[in-house]
Amino acid sequence: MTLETVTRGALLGVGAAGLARGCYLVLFELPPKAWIPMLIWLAAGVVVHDALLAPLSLLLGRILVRTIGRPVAIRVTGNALRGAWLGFGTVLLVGIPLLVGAGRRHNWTVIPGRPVLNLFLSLALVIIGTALVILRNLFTVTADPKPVAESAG
Amino acid sequence: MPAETDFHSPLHDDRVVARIGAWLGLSLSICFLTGLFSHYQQHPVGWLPLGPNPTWGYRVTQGLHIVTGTSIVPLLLAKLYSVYPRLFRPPQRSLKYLLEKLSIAVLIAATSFQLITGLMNVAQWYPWGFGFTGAHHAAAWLVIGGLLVHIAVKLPLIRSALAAALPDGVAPPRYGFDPDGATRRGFLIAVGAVTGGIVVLTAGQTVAPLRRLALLAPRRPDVGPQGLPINRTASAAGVTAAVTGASWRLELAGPTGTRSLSLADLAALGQHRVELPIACVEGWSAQARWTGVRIRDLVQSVGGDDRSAVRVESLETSGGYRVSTLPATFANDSRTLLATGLNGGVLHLDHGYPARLIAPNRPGVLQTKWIHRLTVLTEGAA
Repeated sequence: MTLETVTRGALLGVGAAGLARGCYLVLFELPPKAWIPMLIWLAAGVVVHDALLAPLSLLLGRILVRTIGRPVAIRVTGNALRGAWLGFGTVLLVGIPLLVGAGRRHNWTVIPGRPVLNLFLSLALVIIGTALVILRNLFTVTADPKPVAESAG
Repeated sequence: MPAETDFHSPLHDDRVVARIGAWLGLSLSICFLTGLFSHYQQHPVGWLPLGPNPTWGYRVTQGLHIVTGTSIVPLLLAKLYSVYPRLFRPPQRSLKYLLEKLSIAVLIAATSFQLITGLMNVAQWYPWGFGFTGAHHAAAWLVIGGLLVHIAVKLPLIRSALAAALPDGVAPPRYGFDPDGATRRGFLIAVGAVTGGIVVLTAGQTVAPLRRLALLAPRRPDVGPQGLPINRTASAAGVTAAVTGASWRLELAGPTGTRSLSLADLAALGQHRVELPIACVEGWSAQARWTGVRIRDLVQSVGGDDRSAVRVESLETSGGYRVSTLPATFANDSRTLLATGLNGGVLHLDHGYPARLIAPNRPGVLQTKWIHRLTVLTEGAA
């Protein structure tokens, strides 16, 4: 029996125990009236990602590739724009609860700043970072990449 | 419906998936362990004795909990994007395949659930029909269980993908061709930059040097009455000036009897000053100067000893944290106070006037405010 087999067996066993513990807590520590809303929220994240965010990202990527056109331009802007898209998504996912929370805050020490301004400043930082990376790539990225190594995978 | 072969980006390659997966696995594990630490602080178990040391323990672990939790947002988005074409592989008829897909579904659903509801919780926004803490705890086990099963299933693939260089060389890849690895490397750098960026924009609620950059942090550690944030105000807790006024008395009960102490009586007892952080499970924390009477002095005055735990009762009219139990290790610590002063002034009503608990390495929700009764518990009762 190899070390890898033992490791996989151990991970599988501990993982299955973790899943069982989670199911036990849901079934026996949460009131039954919590099950349906929890199930809805569990499924919603997957559906929103798989049916909306990922297809939207791929569609945007395809549109960008067709718009930018030339391979060298894609090499200059591609990852910067992917980073920007990821940055926008992340900032919005973190920032929107703060915006809503600020409107319903229980006391003035919760979200005490200016959440709308802060959200826009954060998005502006993403745009500035993207522009700087593209600017740098304009001077460093070559048009015709050559293979540099044999891949093991 | 597209097929897996319709996807042509080199970013869907196993090498990218495995590297992002490794970062994600690390963040999820830290987040799980720090969350579990908080859970066991609030629900002590015999096999894991948690004490007042180190003073900064709860502060650091819960800061880390929220920092790693927030860092999971871009890592999860990037991971799900990179593995997306695998969603369109033709299904197989085998039990192993079914179990693997089921564990992935649980992992993704539970991780998304934790992130979305967790971010809404720190903003105190609760548009759901279940208790947050219980659901968060249960889903955490689903996340870590699903993660370990996923790693077990994919371990050979993960090992070979992590060992492989990013460039394709001349070997034909499954997805798009990336001869010098620049596309894959650039994407991984972008993911790292976004992850680092979101940490910088949020960690200032507990990491003082980053305070000015904390654009997306829900708290400022220096904003609040007496320069300290609050989670629950006196009015939200149903505590009014009428019950905290001149008629207020601390009822102190122990093996040798019961004492009733006014604020003046407490002031006449030995006063001590400590510098301790107040730290919240929601990730914010702040250092403060507290003054008051040592809990262990009060315990000894009614016949308790260094093995005595203390039940702490608040004037709050409702809420799950109206009563807390201070284990003996905390009650006997010289830094644990019945605090009546904060940062050089009298305790503000929203900080728990007339008296509150402050102890090292303890969750903020268990630093009970508006105390009106302390009961010294014998070893068996604790």
